[in-house]
Amino acid sequence: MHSDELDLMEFIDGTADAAVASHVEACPGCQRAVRQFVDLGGSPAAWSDPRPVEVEVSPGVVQALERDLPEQVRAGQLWRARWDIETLLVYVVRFDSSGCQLAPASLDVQLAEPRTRVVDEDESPLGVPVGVWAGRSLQAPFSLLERYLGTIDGNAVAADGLTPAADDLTPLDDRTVYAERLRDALRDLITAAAWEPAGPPEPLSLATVLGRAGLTMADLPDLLGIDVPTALDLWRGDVAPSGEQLAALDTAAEARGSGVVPSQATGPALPPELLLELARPRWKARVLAAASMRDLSEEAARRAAAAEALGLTLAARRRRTAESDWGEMLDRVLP
Amino acid sequence: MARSTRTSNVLGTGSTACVGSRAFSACCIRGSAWAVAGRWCACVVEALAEATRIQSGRGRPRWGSTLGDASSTQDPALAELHAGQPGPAMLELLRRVIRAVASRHNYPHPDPDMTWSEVGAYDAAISVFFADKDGQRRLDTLAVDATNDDHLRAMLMSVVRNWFRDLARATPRGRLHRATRRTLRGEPEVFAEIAPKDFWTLCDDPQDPGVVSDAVLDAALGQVEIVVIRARPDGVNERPWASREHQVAALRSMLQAAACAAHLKDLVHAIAARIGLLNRPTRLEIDEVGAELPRTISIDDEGAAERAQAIYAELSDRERLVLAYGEETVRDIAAATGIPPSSVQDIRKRVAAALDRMGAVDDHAVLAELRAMCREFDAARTQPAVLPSGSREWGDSGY
Repeated sequence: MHSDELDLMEFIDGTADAAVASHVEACPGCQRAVRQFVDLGGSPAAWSDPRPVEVEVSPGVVQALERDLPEQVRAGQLWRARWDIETLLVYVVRFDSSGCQLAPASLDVQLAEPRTRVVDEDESPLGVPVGVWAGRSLQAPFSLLERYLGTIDGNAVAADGLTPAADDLTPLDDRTVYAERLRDALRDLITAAAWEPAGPPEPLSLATVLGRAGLTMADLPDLLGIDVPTALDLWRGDVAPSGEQLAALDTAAEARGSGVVPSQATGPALPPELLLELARPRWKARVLAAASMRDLSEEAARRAAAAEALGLTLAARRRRTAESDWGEMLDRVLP
Repeated sequence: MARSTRTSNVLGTGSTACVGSRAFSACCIRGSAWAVAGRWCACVVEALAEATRIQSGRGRPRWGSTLGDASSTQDPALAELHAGQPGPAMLELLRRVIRAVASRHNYPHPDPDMTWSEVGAYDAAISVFFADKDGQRRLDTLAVDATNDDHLRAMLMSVVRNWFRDLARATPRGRLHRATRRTLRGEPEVFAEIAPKDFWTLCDDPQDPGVVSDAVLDAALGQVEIVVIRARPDGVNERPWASREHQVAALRSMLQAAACAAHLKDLVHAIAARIGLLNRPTRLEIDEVGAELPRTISIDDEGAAERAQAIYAELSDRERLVLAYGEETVRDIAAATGIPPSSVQDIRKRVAAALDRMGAVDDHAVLAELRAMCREFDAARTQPAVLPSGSREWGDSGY
């Protein structure tokens, strides 16, 4: 991926990260871009402290950013949706037990289509006008909802916004293009969040899989850095392997050329109840924290958290039933 | 606030303890935070080291702040926004982003009375950025959408790029650009856009992208009758520069003459010259010298050749080269001549001042003659320069 203008500018200034510098030195495209930079004068080295500006973030926005999570997701709520580092303002049109219908929203009300509901500043939980493109709503998982920003009173948004598209704008109108981009952004978020947590069709025991990969129980302590009793627990299936352990086993199996991928062949399917619990917004911040700490994608962090919560349950020799307290398990495994 | 209320330790892992069953008594099973039997496993040690590294400011994870809330140490710029006002960190970031985008695309300072090299130019640009009618919304959007400083930086890049583009679009030339694109797109049976972006050809005679000279386009436009609809250059309303019929005829004529798919910018440049959008003699930019020429001009005007020759003799080789490519951007001139962009800019200013001093700024005949001489000079070089008017767009395609 090419460096952006700021990276290249810092490269020219000699202040770029080593990673950027090494990329530019190896990338003809970036080198060409660097050559096209114009020296405008005024090096940052000679800059004084920035002159303060009088502009402030709207007070309503600041307040909204400090709101606590609501008890439940409800229609009419305004959220910041997020997956990994991509974000989008969204409005909850409706919800059910499995997910919610989200409409893209934006502060760019000047690009509202005729059928976009513009919530004026008096009604807006942000204290500034918000546009809701309810006609472009899509079904989405709860797991996208990250930051609660407030509730828009009344059902006017949903009622007005879901009317069929009016053919009063051309496809190339700026407002149409913008609305489509909003929907694309929402669709991208939903696609990214649609990870498939189901386990293998016929889960095999770890011993069976490792045997096919040419590994024995005696290999486990060295491979995983664990002691023999723990290795025995793993081998017998008394303990579920962690994500890191499965990754190590995958590497070892690959090194042996067996074609077996232990992480894809072992383990029970993740219970839907666990996944539903994990999708609740209350876990979002902690999943992101786990992802940050372990340098994982959000999907990987969710997968790991789910597997570990299930592992806790199995290890405690509980029955894997709907009655399991998945919230308690997730509370233990997430930072 | 969407923050967990759990007590966090240095790892941010909360007070979760080992459940104490046999299954967990030997080692950490999930590689992050559990210490059992009086010793830390390797992954905990690693995580501690990472946390220490982050806290000491020697590096930061890809994700920035972990809990989604801006922390003043990890994400100072976003923390300022969440506190309600952009402070030094945010303004410094914005200053750097503005400089980077302006340098890359050679945008002029948003205040027409300032140049980028003046002291305080970037602070002035920031003031314009926020004083703009969209300034408040930009700030609010950044505060709402950004999740950490890395994200804020990426968003600022887009916002500043859009800001500069909007400034450019607001000019008469920018409006002509958009109107021409609308006309081309509005006639899908006549015109077709082909890759790379913004290259247009005729549907009934499709051609590959190429480079077409101003002279060819000027000549093609000269063969078409155009009734120009005059509008105030600073007018807010989008008005067509000619009737749809005349616009289509003009574009078709140019594309037929080009014998290749032409870039929208070249088409717009020719139209702008024809309808007088480039006629700004009080602030002549040297890159518009060629475009200043009215279509009916005769370069054989009495005395023009002699005056041009006199001016030509006073120009240095580099000044002649820059003048030869007068209608191109600084980047393109630099690419074509091998002169560094910063020098090109200086030379252009120098040439403009010289022309002004000699009273040749408004003398189209002299300018045309002079430019022809400079082009001949360029052509006579041992290694003829290749006009890169197409390469700019090709080169930019990866960005």
